Amino acid sequence: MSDEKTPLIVVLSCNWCTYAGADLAGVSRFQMPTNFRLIRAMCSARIDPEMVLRAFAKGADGVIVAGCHPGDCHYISGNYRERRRIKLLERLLKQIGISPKRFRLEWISASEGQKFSETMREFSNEIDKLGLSPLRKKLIAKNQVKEVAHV
Amino acid sequence: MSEKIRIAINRGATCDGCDMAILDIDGLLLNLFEIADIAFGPTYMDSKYEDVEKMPDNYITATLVHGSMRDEENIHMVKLLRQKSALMIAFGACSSFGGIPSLANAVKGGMPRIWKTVYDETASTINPDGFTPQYEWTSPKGNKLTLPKAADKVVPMNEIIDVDYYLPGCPPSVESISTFIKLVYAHVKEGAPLPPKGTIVASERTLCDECSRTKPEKYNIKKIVRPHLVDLDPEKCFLEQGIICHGIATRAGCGAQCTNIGNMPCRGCYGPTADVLDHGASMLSGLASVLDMRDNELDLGEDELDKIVGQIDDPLGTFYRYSFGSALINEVVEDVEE
Repeated sequence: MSDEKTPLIVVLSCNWCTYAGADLAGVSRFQMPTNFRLIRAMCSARIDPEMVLRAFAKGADGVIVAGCHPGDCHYISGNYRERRRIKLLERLLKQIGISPKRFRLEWISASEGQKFSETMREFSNEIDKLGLSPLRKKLIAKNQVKEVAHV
Repeated sequence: MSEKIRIAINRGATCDGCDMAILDIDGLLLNLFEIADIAFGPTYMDSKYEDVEKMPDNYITATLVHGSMRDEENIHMVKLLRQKSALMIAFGACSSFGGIPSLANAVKGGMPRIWKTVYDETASTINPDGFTPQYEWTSPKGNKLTLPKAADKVVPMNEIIDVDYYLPGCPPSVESISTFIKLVYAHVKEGAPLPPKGTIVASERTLCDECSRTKPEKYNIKKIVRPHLVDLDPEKCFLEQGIICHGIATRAGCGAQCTNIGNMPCRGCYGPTADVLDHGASMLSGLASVLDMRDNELDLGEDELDKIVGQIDDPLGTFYRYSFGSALINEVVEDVEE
């Protein structure tokens, strides 16, 4: 993915639901775009807003934070905390000027392989329409694109 | 006594409060001048930039720089002083993290927009001919005058040059400055080793460690209130009272003067704690996690959530008050639509 045209998507997922869901999507051979990279944390609450900002700063064109459905958190209340942070972070990203369409929070359970693949397809289409993020364009202009390639 | 060390105090985009802070150390000034001479310091003495240019490399032992990097002049001077100094010290929040001037990066439209506001739109401005500062001007007699050009982005000093030590704060507390002077004094007088490069001369802990207010076992902030609208309890933790206090995400070292003595919440001038990449995100994360948690979280709708986080009017300005220049994303951008 080292070219300067393909959008890059970072998925930050929890271990217990979404990662298992992604796994299921894979073993069920659902069609999915190939331009996303999945990073697993133990709980969606472990995903610090800093990680999302870092992904954007390093040139990600879209970021998804995904975890267990409300009520299903492996750690009981992790996703309740995370959804507050994400809501507030959305407002911060809006102030920074990043389109809200580039960032979303999804609840995907371990049995929702179908939902995972559909979400990725749909999000990837959305990001394709938006094109490269303004921050990535700046990185490309500054010739720091190699760093982006290894995200 | 052996020869004195030489120090320089240079200014970036600053309010000069840091200079006042240096004078505030009282008796320690005597210790300082026992070991040091001021080689360059526009605020304190008559000094010309050419004098610095003529100095040999590493002539100055330590240069303190306060203020962020706003224009070409700031950038030129710190580059020059880096060459002439053995140690470069970022003095104050502006030069360490960008400080309040770096909030200029949050203005969509950049410098032209800021100039329009300052020279045209404020209520007190009367400027019918639309005068704005010019970078170049030739007088009727033919003398050409120039002003340094503003940079695209306000950044902290470590984005321009290599920085050896940081003394954060707005301004750095007397305690921090004394600690630093004592370190240098011991080094000069007794040959004690200096701290490792990159050291932030403050505590490793958060401000809560120094704050004497009583803290609850568990936090659940029901409503955010603004400090000027309520009677502030001088004993209770500010977060418990619903006032945004940046202590939970901010480095200690200031002696918690604002919260202990001033009865005012921390605003984060000592910057992020160790290993945190982004001060604002750190504060955002901490605050949002304890914002109006309910017993019936399952029934909490999106609208309700919007209302809860909507209590914070200006997340960027609140969370990055002193550190936007060093944030992971330290400027506003324009995306395709909206």
